[in-house]
Amino acid sequence: MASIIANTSGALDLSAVDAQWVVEAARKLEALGHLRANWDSYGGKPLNQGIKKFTVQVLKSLRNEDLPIPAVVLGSGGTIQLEWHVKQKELEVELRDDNTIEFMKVLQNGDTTEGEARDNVAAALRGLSRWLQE
Amino acid sequence: MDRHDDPAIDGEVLLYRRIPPWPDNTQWDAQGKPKPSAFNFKDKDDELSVHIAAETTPDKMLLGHPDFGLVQFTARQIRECCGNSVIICRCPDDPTDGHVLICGKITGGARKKIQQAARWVEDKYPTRHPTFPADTAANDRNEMSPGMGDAKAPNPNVNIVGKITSVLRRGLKNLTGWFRAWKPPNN
Repeated sequence: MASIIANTSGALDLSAVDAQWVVEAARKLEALGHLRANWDSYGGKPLNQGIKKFTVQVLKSLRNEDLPIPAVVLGSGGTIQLEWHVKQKELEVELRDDNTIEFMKVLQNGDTTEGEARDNVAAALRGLSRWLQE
Repeated sequence: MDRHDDPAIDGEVLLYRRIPPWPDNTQWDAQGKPKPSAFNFKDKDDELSVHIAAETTPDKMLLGHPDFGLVQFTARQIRECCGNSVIICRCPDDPTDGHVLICGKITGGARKKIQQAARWVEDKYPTRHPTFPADTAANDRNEMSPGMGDAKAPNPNVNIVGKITSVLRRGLKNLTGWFRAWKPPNN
């Protein structure tokens, strides 16, 4: 099982992580780290290193959840959004540079619910994960 | 800088926005159809750039941006998706080619609505497997730390093969467009 993904700015330490989806998501994250300024043609910033570390923390905190590989999307400000699509439900989690998250749940009928978590982000994420798997 | 809403940019005024080909800014479904992530419709400064279709062309929009895709939506759709939280105005710093800014916070829900409203401009889909711009990226993506069971040696051919594939794909796309546009001469 891969435990460390090599990169140019310090290894992504995924030791003790058995969940393949976490490793694959980390690979995607690492690849996005190669995009340079203006990667989106509209002045987009490169991946923020603090956000990158936060993303790895988030992925590791969810390692025991039975989730598919998320879409890992780079944003204009160098931030990351994780997106899961499960059983016609969608979960989008934006990771902000102050280590908080903003999320949006899309229900099977298309209705959306938005929210954010500032404290105990890991617990909030686990709750969102459970909602996704229901 | 002060921005003021331009009420003329409304209704069926068609707007273009480039979509990066990088995974997962563009996602591909099981049928091979591309879908832009809603995160493409968030700007770091809350000033999302778009261009008025009537004042530019799809080819101009993508000039210098190989592999990118192009989506379109109307000004009315933007106003309906975002409500009063945004204004739409001409870009004062760069008004060329109908450059317009959607100013204000576009919430996650509004971004989702824009994603659903957006349509690909015909034949302007992003490239599915683009070569990353960094010269080392392709090699690094294959490179693992020593001591791991599935470690691979860096492959210097990976990047050049990716580049050649990308160039050939673009050439084929141009050739297809040329054939479609070609009409036999009348006798």
